[in-house]
Amino acid sequence: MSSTPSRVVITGLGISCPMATGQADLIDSLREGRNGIAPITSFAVPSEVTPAVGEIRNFDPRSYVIPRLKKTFVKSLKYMARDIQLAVAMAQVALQDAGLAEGGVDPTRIGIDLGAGIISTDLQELATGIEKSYEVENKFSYATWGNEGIKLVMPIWLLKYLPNMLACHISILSDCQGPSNTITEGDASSGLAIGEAYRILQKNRADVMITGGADSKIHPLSYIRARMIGLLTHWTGQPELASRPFDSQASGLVLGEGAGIIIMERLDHATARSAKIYGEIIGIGSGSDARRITEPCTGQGMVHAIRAALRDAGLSPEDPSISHIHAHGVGVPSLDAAEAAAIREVFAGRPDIPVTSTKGATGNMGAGNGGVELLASLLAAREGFIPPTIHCDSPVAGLGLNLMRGQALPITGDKFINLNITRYGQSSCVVTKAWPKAS
Amino acid sequence: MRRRVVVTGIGMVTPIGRDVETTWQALQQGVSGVGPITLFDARTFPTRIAAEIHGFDLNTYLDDVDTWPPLSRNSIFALAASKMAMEDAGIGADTPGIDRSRLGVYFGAGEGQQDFPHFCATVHSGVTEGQVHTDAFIKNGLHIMDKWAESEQDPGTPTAHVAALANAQGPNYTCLTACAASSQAIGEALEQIRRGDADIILSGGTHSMIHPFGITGFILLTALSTRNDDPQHASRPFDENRDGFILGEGAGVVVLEELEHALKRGAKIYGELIGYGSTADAFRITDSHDEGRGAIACLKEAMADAGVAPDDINYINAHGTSTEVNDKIETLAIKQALGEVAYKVPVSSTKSMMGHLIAAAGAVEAIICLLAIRDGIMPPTINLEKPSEDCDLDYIPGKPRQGTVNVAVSNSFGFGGQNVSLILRKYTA
Repeated sequence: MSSTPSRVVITGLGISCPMATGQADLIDSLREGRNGIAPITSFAVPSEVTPAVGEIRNFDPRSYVIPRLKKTFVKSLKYMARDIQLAVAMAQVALQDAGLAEGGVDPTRIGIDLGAGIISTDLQELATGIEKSYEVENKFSYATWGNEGIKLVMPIWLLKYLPNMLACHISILSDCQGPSNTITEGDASSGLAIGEAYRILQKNRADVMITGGADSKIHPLSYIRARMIGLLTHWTGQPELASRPFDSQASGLVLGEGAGIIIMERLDHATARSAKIYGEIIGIGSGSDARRITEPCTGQGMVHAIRAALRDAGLSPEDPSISHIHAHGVGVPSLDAAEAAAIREVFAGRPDIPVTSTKGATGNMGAGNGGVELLASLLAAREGFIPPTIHCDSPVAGLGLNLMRGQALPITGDKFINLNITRYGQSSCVVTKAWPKAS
Repeated sequence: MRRRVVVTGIGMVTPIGRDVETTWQALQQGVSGVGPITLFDARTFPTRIAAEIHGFDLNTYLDDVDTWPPLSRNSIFALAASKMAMEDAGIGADTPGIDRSRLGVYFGAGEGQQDFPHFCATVHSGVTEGQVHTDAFIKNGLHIMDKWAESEQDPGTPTAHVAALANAQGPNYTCLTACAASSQAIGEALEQIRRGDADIILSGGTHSMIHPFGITGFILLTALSTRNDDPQHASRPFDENRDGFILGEGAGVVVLEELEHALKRGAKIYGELIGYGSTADAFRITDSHDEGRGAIACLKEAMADAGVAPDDINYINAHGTSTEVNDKIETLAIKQALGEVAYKVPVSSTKSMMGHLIAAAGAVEAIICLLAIRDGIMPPTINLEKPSEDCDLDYIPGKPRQGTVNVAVSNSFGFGGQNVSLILRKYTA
């Protein structure tokens, strides 16, 4: 085992988010500044909450699976919550993109490190049992639930909603026997998973890692949680305009869903099989505010994460080859402010560094954020532009960020930084170098 | 020169003890922490026994409990275990000379206890003719459900609480690979320190699934023992009459520290973390690979990482859940990975006494390995009256075993085929 860390490149991708599915569609959508936020279609919501969500419309997971696996996959669908379906489908796309869907890597040398969220149960699946338990006394009877309610739930119920099942299903379908982990740290999950996958490959514990993440926050329980915790937007204007990164009219997040699955590979392994290479991971970092969760976000975790990642990449903040920062920009005022303060602190020597957030178009995709956002920056960078920030009509005063608002702006430099932060200040930073498109 | 990683503090809360030494004594005495479920009315549930932690009071461990928000059981256990580990290691939020950006937290943590009563009430309030109306569900849920219970559902929450407790501003990770989660956390934290991303990491796990959702979920998978009339004998790993695992709860935390850093500050050293293996069965979501290929590969990977041969191993703390499949496959895997030497290495399952702590199991079992190394005592597997035919190793039945333990292995094999092995060794300079 070499003591020099291996270089790690991106050789495949699969992406589905509210405004686009697939590479070409995503590039077009970013160029246009296309919006993915709209009134919710998948279930009814009361007037107490915004109908604005970032939904992936017309998602049919079966259409992404290679013929050889289709039958197995279709049989397993009923055991997969939506998050899992998104992850598995986009992993299929990514593996095909990388030319690894029909072998090409030793099964013991391909692993998985994915970001995933807590997955809420389908309500109807439990409703019959719950109603039965109210029948006799018109108040909930544990005795009835134990005796009769449980039997009305499908046996595999728990496994349909476990966060590690994204990775498990992928591993089973595509025979991935290498290191396997699932990071469950809220909105920073896939940024952190990408970082860990990078380290695994650098250390030669695997040749290929399937990483990124997937999450669907389009669920009644997610609405309740986001509202009660005080994170959900209070926007009452046109729903399409509700997700407003760094904007003075932002009042909270919009629930979204997304899957950004990335095939990462050691450079020598990729070169040996003449894989196409999109880009290279060159630095990662993680940090935390380390404050009580009832106190406001300080952004200190993000400062540490960025500094660690830049050190890891061998870059100073002033390095002109850093083309842009793809910020978390979730539209929760306290988090946006803390993130902006962190960026200002680290990049004090280059205050006009371009900053952007695609959440105006996607909403908050939870564990899908890091994967989707890295791919958005990567694909856009290779096309020569920075993904724009939409719905930031009037940035918060004093933010001090050079926000890429409106149209997709031309890019200078081949590197970019992705940031994610949880409501607790747990932060991830990934530094990527885009490789030029093959002529 | 690879950076070496040692353990400089330990803390745990389990169904058989609220601190390390109490649990350790109970393990040696073969005490069972299993009894009837009291946390909710389980009297008609097919499984109505569990290993609960009774009457736990966080005020015993923290003197400012009222300054924390309402906490779920798993956060409470995490804070208590972390506090004990931190005090043991001499590292606190105000300890001078610690680079806070290089003090991290990595937990394998479960979601918070799910609020079954309020969830069911909300569902009920939104049902008309058997159909759930989501608008009514959301509208009513905003009044019925509990803000803090829902806030604590986020699995990253315990990690955030512990980071606050310790003023740990460095790398912050939470993983949830089911029953392997906290072993995985410790293994990946080991890698972070080796790599130089941190110097100290509070690592471990916490979980409490003894609630109607958790029990229901495992009952449906037929994973739990139904020996309700004889709780203390229900968890019987490797025994021919085993019928499933017993759900436990708790937390285990180790302070992982880079060796030079530990020596410089004169820290006490429990042992060295020398090996980590992680593999996937890639087989079925319900069962382990039928020839144990993932477990075998993971044991071998850990041994290679540790630079140990099978005959260097003195003790194995098994995953040993008391399910028919795990115990059989784990036995097979140990034999395949260690060869003939397998018959000479004592193996025990402490789940026989404390039940299965799910995400927290791995961390607690790593701590048990460290104590075995420290004291030269290997805890028993209790309730092993007659091993099943395919379980023919030395499982230390009934009574603890005395003997030098230089190298100990801890296995954790999670649902869906997530396999982790950790190897710990007595520290020598």
